[in-house]
Amino acid sequence: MKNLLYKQDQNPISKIWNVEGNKYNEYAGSEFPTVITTYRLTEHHLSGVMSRYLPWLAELMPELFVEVSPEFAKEKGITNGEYVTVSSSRGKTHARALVTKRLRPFNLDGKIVHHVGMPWHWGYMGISTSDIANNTSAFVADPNVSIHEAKAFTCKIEKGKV
Amino acid sequence: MFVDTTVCTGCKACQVACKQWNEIEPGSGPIGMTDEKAVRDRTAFTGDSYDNTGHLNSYDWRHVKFIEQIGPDKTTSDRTGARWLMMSDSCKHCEQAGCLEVCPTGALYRTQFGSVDIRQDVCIGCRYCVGACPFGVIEFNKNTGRVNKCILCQDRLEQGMSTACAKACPTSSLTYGKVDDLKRMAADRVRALHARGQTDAYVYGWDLGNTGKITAGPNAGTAVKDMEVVGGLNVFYLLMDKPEVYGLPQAPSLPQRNFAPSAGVALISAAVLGVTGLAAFRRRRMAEVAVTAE
Repeated sequence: MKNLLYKQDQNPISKIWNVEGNKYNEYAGSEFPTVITTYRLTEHHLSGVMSRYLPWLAELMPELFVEVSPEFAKEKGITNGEYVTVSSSRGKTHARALVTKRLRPFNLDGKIVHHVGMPWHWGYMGISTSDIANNTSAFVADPNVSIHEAKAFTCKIEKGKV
Repeated sequence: MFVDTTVCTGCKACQVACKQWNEIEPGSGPIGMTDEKAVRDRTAFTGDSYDNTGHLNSYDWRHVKFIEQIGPDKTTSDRTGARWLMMSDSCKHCEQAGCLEVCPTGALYRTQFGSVDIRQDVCIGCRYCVGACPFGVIEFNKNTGRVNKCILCQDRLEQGMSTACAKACPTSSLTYGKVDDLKRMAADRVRALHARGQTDAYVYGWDLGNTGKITAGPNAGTAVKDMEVVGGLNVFYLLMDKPEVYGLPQAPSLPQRNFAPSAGVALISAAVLGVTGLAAFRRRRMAEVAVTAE
C-alpha cells in the first residue's frame, strides 16, 4: 500500500539483514496482509524472564494470546479462546485468540486492513510457557541506534495450529 | 476501604499483594502451578478480556474485573463511547453482614476495625455463610474444610498498617482509612468528577446524596444515584455505571429478610395447631362425658 503522507515509503538507510532466518516481509501485495503490534502486560517484567517464574503472576496470565477484532474473527471463523497461527516470512507463533472490540479494522485508502495485537513476553522456560511473539518479527533496525522494529509489522493469521 | 474505580488501571497488583501477604498458595486456583499437566493443559485462559481469575473464591480474595464497553453491544461494529471499566473487587465488610449473622459458631466476627474476620480454628465448615453472602464473596475451601474470604489483612491492621492491596495499589484506587474520612474523600471525588463533566460517578455502599447520569456505554442516559447497601459497606465503591455492569447486586438482601414473615407463619400455624388440639381434647372429653352419662 502506498504511503499517502510521504513519497518515501521506507527509511532508505534502515538496517536490513535479509539473510536466511531473517526474511523480511514484502509489503506490496503481500501474503502477509494483517498489521500486528506487540506490547507488554502489567503481569510481566521486561521480557518475562523475571516474572514468568513467579506462580502468582503466571496464574494471572497463563498463556500467550493474540487480540483480534470481532470483524476479523468473523472473517477468519475464529472463536474466542481458539488457537491461531500468526506467521510472517521469518517464523510463526501459536497463540490463543482473544476476540475484543478494543481492536478495530483500519480503512486505508478504501481498503480494509485488519490489526491484531500480541504481548511479547512468553518463552519456552518458566511456569507459564508459550510461543514467542518475536519469532514472527524480523530483525530490521533503525539507522541511528539499531532499535529493531518488533513493535509493529505485518503478519498472516490462520485458524488453528498450522 | 474506598475503591475508586475511575483510576483503576487493571494492573492486578492488589491481587498479587493479597496472595503474597496472606500466604495463599499460588496455583490453588484454576491452574495448578505445581501440576505440570494442568499447566500444559492450560485451563486458566478465559478469553474474557484480561481477567483470568473469573470470580472471588477461597483462594482469590481480591479480583480485578475488566468490563469492555465498546459501542452499544458486542455484535455491531459501532465503537462510539468506548470505555474499559476496571474494578478491584473483594469482600465488602458489610455493616449488616449476612455471613456473620448466620454463623452458628461465631467463627465469623466483627473486628475492632469494623471488618469481618474469620477464626479459622472455630469454623466448622457448615457453609451457611456461603449462601448468606449477597455478593457471593465467601467460598468453602476444599483443602482446609473451612471457608475463606478477604479478612481486610487483620494482622496488618492490628499493627497499624494499611491493607496489603491498598499498599500495593499504584494509582490509589484502593485507599484504606477511617470510613468517615473515606466518605468525605469519596464525596469530594464525585464532586470533582461531576465538575469535569463525568456525571456518571456515584457511590455504591453509602448514600452520600450524589445523583448523576451515565455518559457513555450501553446504559448512557440512565440516571444513577448513591445507594446504601445492606446498612452500608465498609469497603465501598465509586462506580461509573449501573451496579449490575460491575456484577454487583442492585438491591442485595440478607437471608434474615425472610425472618419476620416466617416467624409470622410459624406463630399462625402454632395458633391453628393449638386450637385444633384443644378442640380434639374437648371432643374426646364430651364423648367420655356422654358415655358416663349413659
